[in-house]
Amino acid sequence: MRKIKIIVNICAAVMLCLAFAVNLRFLTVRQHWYELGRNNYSQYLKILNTKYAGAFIIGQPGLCEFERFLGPTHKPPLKFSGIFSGWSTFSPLFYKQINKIGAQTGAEVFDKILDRNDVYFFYRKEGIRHILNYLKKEKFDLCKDYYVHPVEIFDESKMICLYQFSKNPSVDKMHSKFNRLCETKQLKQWSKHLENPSITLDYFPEILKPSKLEWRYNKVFAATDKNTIALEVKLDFTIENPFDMCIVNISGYKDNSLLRGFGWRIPAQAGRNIFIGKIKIIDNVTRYRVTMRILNSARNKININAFEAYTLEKATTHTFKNKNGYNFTGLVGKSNHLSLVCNIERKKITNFKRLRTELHVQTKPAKIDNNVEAELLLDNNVVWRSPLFKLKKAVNLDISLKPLKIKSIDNMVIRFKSYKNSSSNPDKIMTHKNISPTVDLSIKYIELF
Amino acid sequence: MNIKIFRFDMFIVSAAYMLVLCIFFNPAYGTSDVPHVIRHANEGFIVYVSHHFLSYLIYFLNNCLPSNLWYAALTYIATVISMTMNLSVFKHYINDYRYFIIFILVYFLYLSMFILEIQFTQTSILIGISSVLAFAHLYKNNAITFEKAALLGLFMASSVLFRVRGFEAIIAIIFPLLLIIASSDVIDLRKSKITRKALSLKWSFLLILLIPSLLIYGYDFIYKEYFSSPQYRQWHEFNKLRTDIHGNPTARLNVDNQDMYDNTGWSPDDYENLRYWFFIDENIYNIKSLSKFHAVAKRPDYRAPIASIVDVFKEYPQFMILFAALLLLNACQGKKAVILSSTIFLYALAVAALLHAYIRFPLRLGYPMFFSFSLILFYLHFGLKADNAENKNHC
Repeated sequence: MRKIKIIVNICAAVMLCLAFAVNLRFLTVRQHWYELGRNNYSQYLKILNTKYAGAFIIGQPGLCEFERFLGPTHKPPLKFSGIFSGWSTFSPLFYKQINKIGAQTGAEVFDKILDRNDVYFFYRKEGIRHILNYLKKEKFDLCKDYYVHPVEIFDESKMICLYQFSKNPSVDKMHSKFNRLCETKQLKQWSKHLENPSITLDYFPEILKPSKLEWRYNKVFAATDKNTIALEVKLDFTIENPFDMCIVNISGYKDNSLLRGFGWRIPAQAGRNIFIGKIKIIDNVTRYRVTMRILNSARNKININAFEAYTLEKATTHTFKNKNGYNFTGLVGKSNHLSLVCNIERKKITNFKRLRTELHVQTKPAKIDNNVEAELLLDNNVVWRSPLFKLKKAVNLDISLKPLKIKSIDNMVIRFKSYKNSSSNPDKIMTHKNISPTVDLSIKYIELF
Repeated sequence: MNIKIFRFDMFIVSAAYMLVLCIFFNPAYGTSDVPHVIRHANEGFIVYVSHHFLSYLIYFLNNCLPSNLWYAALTYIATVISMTMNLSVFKHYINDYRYFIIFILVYFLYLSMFILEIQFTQTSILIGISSVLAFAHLYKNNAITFEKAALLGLFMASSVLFRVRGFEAIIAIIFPLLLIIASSDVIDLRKSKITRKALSLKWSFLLILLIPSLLIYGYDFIYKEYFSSPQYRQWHEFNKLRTDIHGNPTARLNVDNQDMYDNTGWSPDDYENLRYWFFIDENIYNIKSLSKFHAVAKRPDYRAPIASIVDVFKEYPQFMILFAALLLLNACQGKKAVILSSTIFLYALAVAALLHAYIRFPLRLGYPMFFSFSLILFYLHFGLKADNAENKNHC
């Protein structure tokens, strides 16, 4: 009996030690997390107090409570006012705060702030999306001419920014202007760091010391081929223990616009980890940005063996082009519609993905009704349509052919619809003599991997 | 024997430990709710989480001497008193310094969370459990007096100041302890060890312990429901409905609930905005629409607590291992100790699983709750050990 008691006591002691160790680790990890938060938030506050003193800042719940991380011993001097929402939304304090901008109710807040240039949103990107969802549904007429763009970036990986609504920023043609987050300032900063066009990132064995709690790797590089369609990122690292978090993000840009972003949260095991992430298609991208962020609150020694990004396959582009482009000569009239046919060189291609072309229709003035609708057909598939007057200046077409599943093309047709019945100008005549469209055609195709 | 629940030497140890932590580490607020409470209090507004007495006290102190430290200072004073009371109680039972050092190491480590991360819910629960343990200690040793019970009652009532609904958690935690005390009294009565009159006197002390908290809790409820400003009352009513959504399993379950969308008139985007804390428009989010939400909202079914037990084990491994160690230690004290400690452990698990499944079980509630249950198990172990030693001496 005495022996059993001793064994039980030893087991209890071991478990007590284990519980002690587990809780010690739990508290240490939390302390590191707070330490990181404290460093970040003191920086955020410093910027807000110096550059945005006197501004009105609407903060995302859980993000704008600077005091949380700074703690009771540090009184943050807030030199700006604002709404700090969350569960205090609709509280008497909330109404006192919004009265400062002249709003009596929460529903009026956006009516009052959009024209003010001293109102900012201290938000994460996904938080701004919630605001945009709300505005699109409830305040569309009010907000349709406004754009959101970050004026100050605090944390790129978490996309914590100071956003502002304003009119007339650069418009991204590819997206609905309201949804677009035009990150103009950010891109200007990135352009400065733009390095030699290269797809391969640095190779490095690099050892991160255990004291390094947060490690970031940022690289901006230009795409060598505008038609790059697949990018692979390989990260090879060795760690002693699993750490908190490793995130790899890749963003693709065209000119000043973020086209797409891809992110991976990497599950890390103790020992060697090889992570490979693939982006299947980023079309039109001229610049990539790769970010890797490691949060190492467990104080690991991390050995980065390699971190590289490279293209998997390049897209092949076929260009069909005569000396002066293609001329449409054959005029075919069918009932109300008249078509101009252009035979092009036949080429058998397994999968057409995209048609990029410049289409230019020259017409003799006053002979043609400008409201005639012109359609572009590839082997009897309508791929594009537009009023004729839009084609008088050369138009760049970029059309996805994927849904049409075209195997090969023999001819291209421009069909003009309803010219005879045009009520606005029935006397105008269309013949191939007074229309001369030219087309520069390039078709990109890829094999899906 | 002089029974003390506030030893000066333990006070010095507690205060020194707290100071060391505050000097060598940077304390922070445990959740972003605390800055909200402080902002409201500094501007003279009350909030539903803390008692309005505390809000006005901070407002008054802040006006007299503007400082961000008042809230933390009040929290730390309450924490040091609680630590002193706990250590005084356990020092009474643990005479061997080696055991006491082991206990104090474990105790201080687990308690560090309360100092390094200031949070009203955990402070409230710590105050409550410390008062009840001190009361149980005095009660068990027949050293309870009217003054001591009243003082402990007043201290326990201060837990309601920090977090009004913390009192509900304290009652849930101390329920098995009160049941053990009451049942042992009834057994003593049957064995004629005490008279009915003596029993009713002892139980009246229990009422004295609870009455101040009940009064302060009730007063806050009545004040906020009926006597506060109409604007506050409207917010309060809205918040009661909102808190049943945020952080609750209900929020996730209703993402695809078409009945809810039909009933409230919300779009999926509206509901997502609410879930992610963007609900600035009174025309969309109001008492009426939230009531309509709750009328048709899907709730977790009866299987949810079973899955929650696994989550509780995963989220609180440090306490599960500690409980296992304490169960083993109690196993050495005989059958009675095994039954009592395993009942308390199962009760703790059941409460945690039910909260996790149907309401919510965040760290700020789970950590102090399990900490309290582990203190009760420690108390049971050392109390029963002392009893067994005393019985052996008598034999």
